[in-house]
Amino acid sequence: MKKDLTNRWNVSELLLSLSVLFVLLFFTYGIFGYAPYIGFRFNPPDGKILAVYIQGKNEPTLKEGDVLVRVGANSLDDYHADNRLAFFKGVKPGDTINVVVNRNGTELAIPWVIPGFNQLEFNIRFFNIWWLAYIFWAVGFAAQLLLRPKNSTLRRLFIAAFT
Amino acid sequence: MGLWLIFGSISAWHLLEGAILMHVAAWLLLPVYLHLHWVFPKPLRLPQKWLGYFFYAVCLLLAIAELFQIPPRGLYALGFLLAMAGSAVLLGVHFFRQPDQRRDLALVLTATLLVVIP
Repeated sequence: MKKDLTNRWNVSELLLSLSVLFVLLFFTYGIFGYAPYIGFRFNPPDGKILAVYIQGKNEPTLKEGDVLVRVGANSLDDYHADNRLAFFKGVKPGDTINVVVNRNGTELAIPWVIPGFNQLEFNIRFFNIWWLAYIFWAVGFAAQLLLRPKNSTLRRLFIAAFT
Repeated sequence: MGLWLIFGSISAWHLLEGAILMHVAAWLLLPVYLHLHWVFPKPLRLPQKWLGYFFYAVCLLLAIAELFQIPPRGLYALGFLLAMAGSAVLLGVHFFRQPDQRRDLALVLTATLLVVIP
């Protein structure tokens, strides 16, 4: 009876770690495959454009140091107020989005063409901290498989690593 | 920490509920990390057991509130900072009050540095 309970607990632990791995994989796809490649990067707290990966063909175009005021119909304040509001949700390569920026105190409206996948933007995403999530998952999983005795402290350890 | 990191990695886009989930994960990390560092490597004395349950309940409520975007925007960062700073303080307490556990603590510190430094 006790062995049955232990086995069931082991199976549920394994399911937990596999579920966490599934979530990690899903969001990794989100980072690389779902989030649109918009051709520039901005600092979310203040809207400052940190890098422009693809230069727009027409003037005016976005420049590093510009501060986002509005993207399409949504202002930076709207973006800050609602964590579900995405500036670029559903945009496709070739779509034109009206981006309003503040450059040296002057507001400029820029028709920004979404470039789609580009190597520079991919590299910035790739060489980032997302992979640390897998390190923590692996540590938790290894603790689950290898460390004994399997007590509540050990369970807290791998839950902490997963969460 | 794994989930918090992956949610945080996509949070700037506000896609797939990433920003909200990052806030939720930060509040869930807080009691889990403090509890882990309270009992590891050897449990410290808890004055009242209900305090632990109460703390878990408060953090859980904050995590649920984050789903509805009720707490102030940056409050989750405080939860995360408390989790990290609180864990460091608790490890320090273990170090000074449980000299026999210093070897285990050195292992934890080494593992942490290996992950954090890169």
